[in-house]
Amino acid sequence: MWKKGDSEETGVPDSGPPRPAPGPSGADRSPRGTREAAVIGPSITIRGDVTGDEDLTIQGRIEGTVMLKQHNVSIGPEGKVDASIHGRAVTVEGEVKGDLHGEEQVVLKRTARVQGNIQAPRVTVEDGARFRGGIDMGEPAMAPGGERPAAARREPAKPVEAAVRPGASSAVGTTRT
Amino acid sequence: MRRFRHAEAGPDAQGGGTGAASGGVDEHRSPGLKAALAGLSARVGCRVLDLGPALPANIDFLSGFASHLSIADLSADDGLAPGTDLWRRRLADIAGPFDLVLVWDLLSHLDRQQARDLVGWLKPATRQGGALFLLVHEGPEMPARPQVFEIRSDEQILYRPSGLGAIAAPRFPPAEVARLLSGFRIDASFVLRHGVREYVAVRTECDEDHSL
Repeated sequence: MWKKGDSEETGVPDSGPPRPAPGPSGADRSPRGTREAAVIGPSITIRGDVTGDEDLTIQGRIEGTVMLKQHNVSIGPEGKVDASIHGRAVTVEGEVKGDLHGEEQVVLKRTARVQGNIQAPRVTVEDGARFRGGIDMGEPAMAPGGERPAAARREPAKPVEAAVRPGASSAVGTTRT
Repeated sequence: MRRFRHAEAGPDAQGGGTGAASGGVDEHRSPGLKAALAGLSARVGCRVLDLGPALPANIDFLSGFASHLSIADLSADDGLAPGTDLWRRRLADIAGPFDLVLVWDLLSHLDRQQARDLVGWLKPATRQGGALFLLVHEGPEMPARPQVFEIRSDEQILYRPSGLGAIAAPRFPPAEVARLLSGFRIDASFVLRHGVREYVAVRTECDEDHSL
């Protein structure tokens, strides 16, 4: 399900676990509050594959892959990632060139710069985020009663009465709104 | 229903507006968008390509139709500047075919060779029977840069200004648009009060059959 979240100010995605690791400043804690997220600092560059068993905040640079399917991955505002990222929830504030796979969700914050494809059941894009690539959405959900969702549940347009032959000089058949 | 969360985008001006080239935020009816979407509603597994920037509102809206959405953001960082091919590189990783391509007003901001090249790229990238949705400025002036268009409903679009003043228009009268859209048939066009003409062009089998 693609859901609209409820926290505009904080940018924290929809309620309910898991939540992505908090921003890069301050103490990073896991959704359960029992363990701090690992942090790759701004001066660190990693070339290769990153795997692990804890949440991760990336403030530095990674070239390769990030594979933390069961954990939250955050790319901080200064983070630069040239890699595909797999996480439970993936939150981007920095720059990513690569595909984003979120088991639960992907969040692009307003400072995000992403080039790649996104696969996740829920995707949140904040106004101002720059994104170029593809989003796999699955089939449009059917609303209760078998109807298509509101956006798709529109009546087909009437036969186009206003179709005009290109170059026609008169306004006959042309709709002015 | 799948939804994206997004913040509202700036002030909202309802109604008539002050014209596409005025630099204001205007909301306009869009019979062309409605016609283009009508062709999609019956299809399953639709693929949509948006040549404009990633707008939360548009992604949210299109998620009701499409199973796959590609966003190209061609005009970012002067990607359409004359003589450059940055736009082509931005399309390099995008794989069709698509059922709907939102071209917006990009055609008006390309020189003729670029426009031909772009249509040449779109032809194989558009499924037969798939459609292009285009806005072409026909008033005396148009914004100096491509505008950002936010879908408010299936027949309502918010025009966000480019903020860089206006330049002379039109560059492409209807007959020339029809010629440029080789491989597509113009199914509908709508002249809007604010000096923009909307086109819905459908991919045809025959390259020559590009007009009604």
